[in-house]
Amino acid sequence: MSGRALAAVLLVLAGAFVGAPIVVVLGLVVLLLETIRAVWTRYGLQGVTYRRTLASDRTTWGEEIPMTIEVWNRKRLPLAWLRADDDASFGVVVRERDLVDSSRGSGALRNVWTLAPFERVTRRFHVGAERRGVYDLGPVDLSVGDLFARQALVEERDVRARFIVRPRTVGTTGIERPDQWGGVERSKAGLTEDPSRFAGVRPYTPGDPLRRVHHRASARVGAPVTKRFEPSRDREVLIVLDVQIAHGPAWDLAVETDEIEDLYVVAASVARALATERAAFGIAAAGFTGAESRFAHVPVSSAGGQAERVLDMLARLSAHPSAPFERLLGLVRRVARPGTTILVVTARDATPFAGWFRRLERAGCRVVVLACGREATVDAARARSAGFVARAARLNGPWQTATALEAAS
Amino acid sequence: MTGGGRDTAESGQAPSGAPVPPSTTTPAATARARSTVGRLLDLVPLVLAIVAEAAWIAVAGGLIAEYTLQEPHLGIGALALFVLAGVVAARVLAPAAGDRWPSVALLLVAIGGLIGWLSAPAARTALASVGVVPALGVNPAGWVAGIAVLRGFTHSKLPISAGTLATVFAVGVPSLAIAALAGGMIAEPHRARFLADATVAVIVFAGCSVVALAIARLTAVGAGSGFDWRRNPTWVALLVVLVLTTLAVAVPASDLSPVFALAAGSAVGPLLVVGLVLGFNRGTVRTVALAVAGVVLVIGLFRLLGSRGVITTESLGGGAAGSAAPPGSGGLGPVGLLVIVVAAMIVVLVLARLWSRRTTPDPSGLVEIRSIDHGDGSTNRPARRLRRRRALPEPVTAEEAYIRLLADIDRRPDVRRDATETPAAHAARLRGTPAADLSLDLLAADYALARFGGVDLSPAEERRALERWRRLRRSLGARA
Repeated sequence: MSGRALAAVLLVLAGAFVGAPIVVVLGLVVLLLETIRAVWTRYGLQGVTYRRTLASDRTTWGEEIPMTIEVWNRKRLPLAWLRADDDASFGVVVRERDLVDSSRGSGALRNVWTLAPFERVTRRFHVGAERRGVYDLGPVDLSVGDLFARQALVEERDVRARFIVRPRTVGTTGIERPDQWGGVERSKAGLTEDPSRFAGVRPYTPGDPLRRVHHRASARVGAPVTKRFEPSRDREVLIVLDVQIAHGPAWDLAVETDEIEDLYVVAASVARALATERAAFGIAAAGFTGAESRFAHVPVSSAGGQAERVLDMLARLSAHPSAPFERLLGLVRRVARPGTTILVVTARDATPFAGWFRRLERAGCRVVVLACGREATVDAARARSAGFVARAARLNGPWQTATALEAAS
Repeated sequence: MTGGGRDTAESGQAPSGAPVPPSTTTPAATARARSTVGRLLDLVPLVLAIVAEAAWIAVAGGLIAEYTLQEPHLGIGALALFVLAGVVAARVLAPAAGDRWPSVALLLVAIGGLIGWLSAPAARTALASVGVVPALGVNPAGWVAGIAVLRGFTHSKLPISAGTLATVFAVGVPSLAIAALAGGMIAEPHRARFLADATVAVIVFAGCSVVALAIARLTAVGAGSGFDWRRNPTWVALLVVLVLTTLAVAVPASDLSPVFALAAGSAVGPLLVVGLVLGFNRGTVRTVALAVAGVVLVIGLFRLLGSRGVITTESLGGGAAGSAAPPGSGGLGPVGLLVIVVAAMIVVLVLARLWSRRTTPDPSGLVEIRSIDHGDGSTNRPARRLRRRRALPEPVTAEEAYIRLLADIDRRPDVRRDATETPAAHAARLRGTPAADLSLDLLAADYALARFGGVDLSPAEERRALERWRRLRRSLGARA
């Protein structure tokens, strides 16, 4: 029995014994309040279901995921109010609502309903994020008010969801690689496919060169088909992302968030461009992704969904380095096959790593530096003077609004 | 009976238990909902708060009048006007006065007290005949009008503060109890008059403050979330009915033995809640309300015709002098009050039906769908003891074994097969649990092969399926 209930009983008893009906009435009113509170405390959250549904578990920065929140009061007790504080990671943005401060220190999406018996309410939101990353929703704190709207019960429910916001990608101009026979770069039309490695036929699609049409097979099946060849091994591209934007110890750097985001948008755009060109590509970076490894690595592949895998990894990647870039280059030297083009995307002067680049070249890889920092042109010139192929690439605006990645030789 | 068939936001009538089509609240509905009536309803908690303030101040004034052996001249109605004047003054004058508002407020309080004091003809006569200082001893209770003005200042902002109301209730209850005890010490007839007025004031205070506090709390909780108290008419009706019923029971019970008073008073809330849980639909409410109203009306009429005691209508307002019977002495007070209370209950229920068609859309334009959904009936199953469980025959094939297993685990919501699940999906869902290993997958596969694939299972396969059924029945916790 709570203190108020005890006081109410004492009021009733005292009023009755001294013959003061008013005191009895007051005591009974307080007793009523406490009784009702006890009932709602006991049964308030029974049969209450809370369901959060995300239409997708990943999106690209600037786009939103439709989210549905449904509550259902599956009992006959009406609820004066039901409040749900749905925890959200920092950076989560809900279009329809501002987040409130959560009891756990993060933000929370607060929803309040008043529910009749058996009432089911569905609300639709649109959720996004301030920048790329991995975002969590939940757990949710449900609290319920009694008939007199006092908070009667609070309960934490472990309803969690996670979504990934990939970095945005922009169109790339001026970084198409020239078609070189026997070279290390991939051509648009697949000239550097290995013609000795016939891989079958596929249905003809408009744009296929006529010389690729397999006439005998076309005549046999009654429809035009095109020859396919295994790709040459030397058309593999491994993007090596230098997460660090200034020289110094990897663990002792202030993170310039916007510059890092610039770098990620560049890397994502390059990956998207490679996927469009049907190149076999992968990515490696020295950053944390939530896995145990200090290095993030998506192996080179031309399989479908490779771009999405790379973009997912870029979404998960931390904004601060997990290891010195030299160690990442050491890893790349071990995993990259001879003939692979190593595309180093960096925002700083790459010449201190010239030794590592040469080791990679000695291993049969070709190193191309894509300088995209504040002094991209100067950095690219330095890399070229060191004997490497280098280009300067820069977004034509802030990463949030840029429309193209412009590259210069 | 499946519980409250409440109207949804825009769907109109909803018969009990019938599926109710969902209603969608969209920004387009916002303008429609904010009608004049809607804005007037916003003032309901403020009005209740004003009346509650006036009620406790009336008790204070009555106590002062009793101790000075005079008649109180300001009833709840008059004091409510003073509180209202304070509310209006604070809203209108405070922004204009700026930093000078404290001085202006003090002046207004003094003016209010002065008007309250001079509201008694005796005070005016004394002021004209014997001067200021001797006249101050006449109608000292009138000065509580200044307190009423002062209390009005605290409710100047809308929506009214739940914290302020909570303080009023928390301080008011013990203060009124002390006042009632103190007022019982004076000799008759002032004692009887005070207790009669104070009883009415306490009932008004308790009812108004509790309802206003609940509405204010709900408004505060729902602020920014797109709802207020009008979104749940069931709640409003239940709240008002509960409060009124408690007061109606408490008043006559207060004259009886403490044990009976405790039992009767404390049983009201649980009884109504139990009634709500067992079935609180429109038909029940209508039937009970009409029955109670009829009985009480008949009793009330009999008592009115047969009683010799008289309580003047002025005494309900605590105003003009009149002979007053002490509460409980004649029995007319409680019964008459009960009649009024029951009539109020019926009005509230009617209003609840009207309110159920009124919505307050989310100001943010959030798309919201509301519906009354009784689910698949799992919560309304007939009592288990009424169903005689027939002894089912033992399955002899894999197909029968699987169907029997589904029947065995049907009472386990966590493991039973949902209506939307295929056998394979059901088995896949349970595969991670320790209770169901791969056996359920295999049994489901046997069932699918035999039932849909037209495959004749070998006797060994049938035997293995039966073994799996027996094991799964035990491991999934089903009762055979």
